[in-house]
Amino acid sequence: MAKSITVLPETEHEYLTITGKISVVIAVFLFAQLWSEIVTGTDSVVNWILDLTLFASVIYCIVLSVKSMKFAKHITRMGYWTLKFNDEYVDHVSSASLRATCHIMVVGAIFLAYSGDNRWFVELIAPFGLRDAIQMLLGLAVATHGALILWNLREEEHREEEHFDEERGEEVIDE
Amino acid sequence: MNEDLDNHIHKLRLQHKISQQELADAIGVSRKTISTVETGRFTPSVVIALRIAAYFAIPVEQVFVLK
Repeated sequence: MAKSITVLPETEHEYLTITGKISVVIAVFLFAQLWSEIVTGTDSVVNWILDLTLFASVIYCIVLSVKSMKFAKHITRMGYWTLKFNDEYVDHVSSASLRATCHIMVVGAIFLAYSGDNRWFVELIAPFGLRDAIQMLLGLAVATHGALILWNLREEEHREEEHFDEERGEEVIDE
Repeated sequence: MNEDLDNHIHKLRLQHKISQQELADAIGVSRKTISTVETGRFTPSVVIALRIAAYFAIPVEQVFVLK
């Protein structure tokens, strides 16, 4: 018999925030790796910075992943694996970001599938190859996913900070 | 943002002297959900709408109205 757990909306919010951060870090890793392929061989400061960025993003991604594992016991399995949450606003933010990510991936994949080996496209993205273009698409998709989550959640916090009535402990609405 | 929907949650909260957090805890959602519903930035499900109406012990039409 499945064990039922009481899920706090704040826990779901925190888990989604970590997921957003992981997406942004993965995007940083993917873009840094692409960029390092261009500057490879040149013993420059840029190369050193890119190596440092790659290393830092891997470490930060591991830290965030370990942190996110702690939520497995505190949120539903659907929430943990598919980002489907009980709290409506958190679920709304999650769905909107997944929808945007899905559209980017589908449109990008269709474009690459039909035009990926066209000469004009190959010349356009040079010195990158098709594999790099796919990596770029993936980077764009995860960056959008993470940025939308963090932006939407942060935007609300920002608005609440701006309009927060400390005496009453509530948001003030501008009439 | 739903341009067709208006709500009286803020007015009702003031009448009942409760904060967004108290209302959120009472109906089992986050304060963000209440905050965004109240300001019209987010349209809630029928379940949340009915829970809010039930909390204030009034029909849902008195909480949410079409403009």
